[in-house]
Amino acid sequence: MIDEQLLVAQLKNPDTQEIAFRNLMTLYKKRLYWHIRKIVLLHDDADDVLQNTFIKVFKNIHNFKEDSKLFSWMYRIATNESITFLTKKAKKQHVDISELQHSLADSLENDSYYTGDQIQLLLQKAIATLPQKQQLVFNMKYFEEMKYTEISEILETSVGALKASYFHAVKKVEKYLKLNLPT
Amino acid sequence: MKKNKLHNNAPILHEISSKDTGFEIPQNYFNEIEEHFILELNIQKTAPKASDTAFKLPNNYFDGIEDLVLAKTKFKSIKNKHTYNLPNHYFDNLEDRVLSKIKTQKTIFSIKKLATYVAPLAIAASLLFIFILNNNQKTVTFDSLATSEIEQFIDNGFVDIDSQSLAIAFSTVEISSNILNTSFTEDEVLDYLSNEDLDPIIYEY
Repeated sequence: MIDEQLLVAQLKNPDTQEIAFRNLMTLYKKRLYWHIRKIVLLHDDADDVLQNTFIKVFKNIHNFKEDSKLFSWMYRIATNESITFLTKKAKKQHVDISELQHSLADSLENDSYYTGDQIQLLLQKAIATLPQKQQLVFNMKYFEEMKYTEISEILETSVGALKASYFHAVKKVEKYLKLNLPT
Repeated sequence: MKKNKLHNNAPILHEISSKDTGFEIPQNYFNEIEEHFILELNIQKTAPKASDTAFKLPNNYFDGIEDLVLAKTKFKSIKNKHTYNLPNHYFDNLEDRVLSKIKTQKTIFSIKKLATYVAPLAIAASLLFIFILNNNQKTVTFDSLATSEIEQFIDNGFVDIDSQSLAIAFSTVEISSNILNTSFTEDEVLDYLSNEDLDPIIYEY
């Protein structure tokens, strides 16, 4: 069990900063990566966003007020960086973010870093039809199996609202799968 | 909703939940992340500031810049040059000149109205000539012509009378002061002036 206070102190201390950041990355790289990957879908994009996230954490560690858990704070940065990334990508392609996410889900079939079967592909397409926040809630609950209290701290949304959001997301995804699964 | 509860509400989702997500990563990807990050941080620390490299220039931008600037300065000097000239003291007595023209116009305007009274004298010769031609048996005199015939002749546009000609022809004719004093109200004068093009009068002098 890491002593978060100690870690934060080491991160803020210029003498111990580099080593502390190595430790921080080792601790959280996978969880952050997969959270980002579920949002941006492509490995190369996830790699970019992960690096941006760590750089942002490094540069802003002095602004971290310790009123939430370090991991929640980092997770929030990762989520925002992912959405920002997709928004910029959509703008470059002159489409809205929803259209982009649909096309990314469609492109997974030919992605060398995706080996999911037909039903898993269909699931990704179903998720792309959800509103932005519902997508985040669904990913964190369904794939990452996070607690509502953890999600609440990251998304700054009440537990009740999150439960309702997840419930609706599940219904929509299930309906999409039923409609589109080959008989 | 826990995953085991999905079984009831979302059986397909429940079935998928036991599988891997399908997402893959390059081999040893997570092993090297820390090194890549530290390297990236060091690069950012030593890299020149964004302001040093962010600005780009068109090719050969500085080559013709002197000519361009000089051309622009010349253009500005031409633009600011005062090219319209006026006579000295042009605006000093403009009001007096305009008002005197207005009076002249009034005179001319009055003469137009006088045309119905004075015109028969001028057209008499032409009328006599026409009647003589048409009626060889009779001797036509002014007395034999009815005023109404003369007026009708004028109204039918057979005589072209311009005010200037009448003014010159009857320069010694006394104009009734009543016409000048009582014929036109101030509003009529202003209305007349607003409809008239005074530019030829102004610029003539």
